[in-house]
Amino acid sequence: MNYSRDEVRRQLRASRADQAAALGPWRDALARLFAADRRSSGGPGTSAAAKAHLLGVPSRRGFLKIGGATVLGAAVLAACSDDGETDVAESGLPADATTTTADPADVEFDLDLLRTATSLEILAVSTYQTAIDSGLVTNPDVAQAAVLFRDQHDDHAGALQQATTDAGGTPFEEANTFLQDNVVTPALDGLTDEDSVVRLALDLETAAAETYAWAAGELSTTTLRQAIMGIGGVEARHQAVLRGFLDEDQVPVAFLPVDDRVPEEAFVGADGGSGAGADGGDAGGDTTTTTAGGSSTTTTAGGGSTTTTVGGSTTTTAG
Amino acid sequence: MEITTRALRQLADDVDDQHREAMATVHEDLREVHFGETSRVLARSRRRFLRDAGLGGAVLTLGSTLVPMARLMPAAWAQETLSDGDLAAFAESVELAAVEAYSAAIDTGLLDGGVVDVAEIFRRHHSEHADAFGAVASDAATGEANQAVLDVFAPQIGEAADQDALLQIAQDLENGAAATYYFSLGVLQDRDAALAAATVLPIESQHAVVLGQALGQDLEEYVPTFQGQEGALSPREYPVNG
Repeated sequence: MNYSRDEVRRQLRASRADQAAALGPWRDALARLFAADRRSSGGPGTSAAAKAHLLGVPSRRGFLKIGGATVLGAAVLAACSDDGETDVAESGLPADATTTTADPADVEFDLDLLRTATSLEILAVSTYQTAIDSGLVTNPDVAQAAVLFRDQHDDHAGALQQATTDAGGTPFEEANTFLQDNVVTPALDGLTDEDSVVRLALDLETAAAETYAWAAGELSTTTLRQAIMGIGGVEARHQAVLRGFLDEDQVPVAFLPVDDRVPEEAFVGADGGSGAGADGGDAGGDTTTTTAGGSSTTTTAGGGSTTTTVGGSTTTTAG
Repeated sequence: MEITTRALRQLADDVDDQHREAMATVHEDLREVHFGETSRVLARSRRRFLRDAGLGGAVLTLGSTLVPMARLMPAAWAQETLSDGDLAAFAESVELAAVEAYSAAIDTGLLDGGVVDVAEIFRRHHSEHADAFGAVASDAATGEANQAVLDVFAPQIGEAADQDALLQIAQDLENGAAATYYFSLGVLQDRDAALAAATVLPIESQHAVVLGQALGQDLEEYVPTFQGQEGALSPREYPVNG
């Protein structure tokens, strides 16, 4: 019998949520700890987690998903949840990038996503800089876009780091190692002309845009969902510009897919490690993660090579 | 940064083909998001959708018209509750207003062939979006364009002197739609609903890029550093039955 990695992760998250619900007092204490600097109109006692405890239902993160179905007992909780006001600052990110959800499992996953997003932005900055320095970019419009996009990704990284701090985490400050090793470095070795440079940039922008759109459906607070798409929408604009350079259709779909989001191996955990390592590693043996569209696939042979496809680029590295 | 008419037409054709492909399942997908097993989650209060402080007499230039900011900022959204159906119906009405706006722009005769192709494609996109949201809204759907939105844009289109003026209006509309979806992400509580909004916002943003390039705008004009909520449309100020 085969289990998909996504299903395993879902089950793990559900287990974490159930555990949190069972450890009521502990969770409340942790919730207060994690929410120490959060704004909450009613204080910790009215947080979503506290309400979940009082109502005896899982938190929103704890909606148990089995085979695509959603157990909706916690709809009551969601209806009772009272998120704080949205306060968008000049930076484009909400000044208070958290609301009231204090479930530790939620916070942990939120921080994973924020760290991962930060690592993508830092990787984009370094990749654009490498492209600029490569001497392969000769079109002034492409050069102008590369500089602007590099700077915008730098701003995005800063905003995400601030959001990480606001959410109670330690800001991540490094490029995404998994994508650097499995996608960018191999691609950089093969850059031969301006189009190949633009193609690599487009792959990264696509991975970022689709990861953020997907994350908007995963983050536990409305404020963080809005914040991530305040950036994701811009990455999508980058996509459109880069596609134009390649004479491709600039708006190829009516709804942004999430098939090309980064694979879970690229997630950055609390220890700064990525993906499975952050959750304790794979159980061994061959694993394959294939997104719905089939365009983002990672296959890891047991102790062997890793093949990663992101944004249409495929690379294989020795294990 | 500019784009040729031929290239624009080619891009429009490509967009159309892929849009049609992508729309094949959107009706069912959106219905599932809003009325499937997750629907009860979406049935909660939408007070946050209607909250925030107003901005007094501030104004924002929308095309050639100065519009009171209070009409554009979700900050002015009323202290009332909107159901999922209400929200979907609002989105439907805005999309249909966009359809009419593009039709009116085409009917002016001021657009050249290549740009007409683009306008027709974008109009069709909005029409299909409206169909999708109408299906989601179910009984709340009106099938009518948002008159209050048209009251803002139609006069601008009628008074447009040339193609660039019309393209600018279209870009304002697309940017306004992106801002509206952005703000909605700070309101919708359900993850699936948020995901739906998050997959639409980028497309409206990309439309704005294409229009900005057709206008010969500077790169920074159509690629801001962050998506914001300026220009977002309020369902109270632009009611479905206007």
